[in-house]
Amino acid sequence: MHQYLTKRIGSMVLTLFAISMVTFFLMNAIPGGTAEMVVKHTFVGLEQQASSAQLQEISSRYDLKKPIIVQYCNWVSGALLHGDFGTSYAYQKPVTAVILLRLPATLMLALASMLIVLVVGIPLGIYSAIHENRLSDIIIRVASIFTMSVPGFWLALILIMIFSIGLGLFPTSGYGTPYHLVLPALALSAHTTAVTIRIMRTGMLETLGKPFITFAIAKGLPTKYIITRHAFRNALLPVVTVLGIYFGHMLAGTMVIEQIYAWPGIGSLLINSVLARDIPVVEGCVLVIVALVLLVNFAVDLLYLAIDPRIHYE
Amino acid sequence: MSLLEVSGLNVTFPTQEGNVRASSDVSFSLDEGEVLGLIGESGSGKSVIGLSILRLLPAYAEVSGRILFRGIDLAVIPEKDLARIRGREIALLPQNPVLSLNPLMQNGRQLAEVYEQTGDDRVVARKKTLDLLQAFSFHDPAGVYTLYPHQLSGGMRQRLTAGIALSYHPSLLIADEPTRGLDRDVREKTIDLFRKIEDEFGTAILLITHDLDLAERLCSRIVVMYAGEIVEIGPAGEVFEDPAHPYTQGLLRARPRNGLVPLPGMSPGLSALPPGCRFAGRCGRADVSCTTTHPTVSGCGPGRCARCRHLF
Repeated sequence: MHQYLTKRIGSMVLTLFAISMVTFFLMNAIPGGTAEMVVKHTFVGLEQQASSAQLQEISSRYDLKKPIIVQYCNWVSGALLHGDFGTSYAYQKPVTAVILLRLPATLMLALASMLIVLVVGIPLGIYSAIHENRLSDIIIRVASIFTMSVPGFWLALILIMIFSIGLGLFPTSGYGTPYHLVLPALALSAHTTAVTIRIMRTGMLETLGKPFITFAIAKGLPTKYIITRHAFRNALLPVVTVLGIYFGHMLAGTMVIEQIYAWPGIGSLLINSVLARDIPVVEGCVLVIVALVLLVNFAVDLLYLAIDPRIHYE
Repeated sequence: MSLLEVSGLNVTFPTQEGNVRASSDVSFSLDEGEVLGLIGESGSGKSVIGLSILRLLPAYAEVSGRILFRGIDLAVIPEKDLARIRGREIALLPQNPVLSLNPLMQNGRQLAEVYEQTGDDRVVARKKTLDLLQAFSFHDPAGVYTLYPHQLSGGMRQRLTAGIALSYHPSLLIADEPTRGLDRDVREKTIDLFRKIEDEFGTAILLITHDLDLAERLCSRIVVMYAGEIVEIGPAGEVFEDPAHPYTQGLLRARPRNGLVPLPGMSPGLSALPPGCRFAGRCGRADVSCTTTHPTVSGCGPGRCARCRHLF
């Protein structure tokens, strides 16, 4: 186990390194001079009048004259030694500060969505399995297929139409109060909830057909006890796998939802930074997202250990 | 009154290829403390009978007939009352001890939970569990308690399932193919285990098996099944010594010690049963009337009967 942890953490660090390299060189491969982009952000409306002396000054300030390898090494050593991921061209502030400002919003949205998935998806999946082929099961199945097939951005707009414009219950967009959280969290969680219902249902049905469930019934145990204590945990592994993947997506891929609801998270920061060619911020965002996804995967693997005593990591 | 009296039991599984008649008009009885062997080849409907007694078949199975246990018809009583009989009055020793234990639950918990369901608190349940594990020759009950099923050997798992089944000293144990897939060593231990159950607990056993040696060594009476119906019933010694039904005769000739003479042909599919005798296609004695008229069970000696038109 000790060895496994060392290996696992080592491979996570290596992955981060590889990703940082790929992003850094790819971003720098985009045509167009970086100094000109910086000027565009600094002198809004006056960028045509920027002198070559000013461009020179900017280039040396951001180390843009040095070979790309040196730039990368400087950046990595700064990040490793001082936690300094460079300075944003657009915001003129340290990247770390810019990201830390946005991270809580993304985490809050992802956690709220995950809560909806757990509280709605798992019980409905179990209910659906226990009532297999009855009317309630069929309704849940049809509803979940519908929800899975609907694109997130469309659902987000429909939710705004119904609950903000129509009923006036929640704000259309923005950030700050719990009310602002409801619609984005619903839009973001819908697909995952539907997937969870289906996987939980399938897993429960499969488990309920196993001989140890028959034996549990033969032991005279009550049905409720068998479902909660014997079947549920056995049906949980595939659900945990899928939830881990989707939680990673929620932390990383919320750009569309964040854009629609003007949610000030990492996703919208990343999109705007790419458009503005704010390379240090893009780099920082990608690294943070990758780190979060790696951590979630790691947590999922540890969760397997807690659920199934037969699983051992060497 | 018999402990268990099954009469006219029919089990049908509706499938897309038609109705599969897993058991047809099965009637037999079992006395207190008796060991009754239900033998027949795979697919003859033996296990289905065992499972239908405790209503453990999947919901889509169509079951009819009477299953009287001490005069109570198990086929019609409410689920809640049946749950009180399961495990306490009638216990199941499942076919596959490996698959019948919850892989994610500690061995001891799988036993203790049975006691806890009847109101014992955790401490008492644990104590009873450890005592029972000891009684089933586990040398380190406390250690086994916290292990998981995959950490036990095949024989230990069998003893554990037997322990769970006998936790309430039931008056009837339904043992479903207890030696299936076991190696020789574990099989011998299983036989010892059954002797112990019989002697120490006085439990009546319905032994469902295709293992003729096991049945001969343990049972006092034998019920022979073929294609979902009973073809012969009689005291074990007599059935093995002088089988009445041609199928039983064929079955015994196919034993290694009797020369391993295989029965020709195949048993009929349970979804397309012939109108006459179900064994007629493989029977040397069959004539035209056998293929058209379904034979009934008729007596052929004290305590013996068979389903054949050519008994005498």
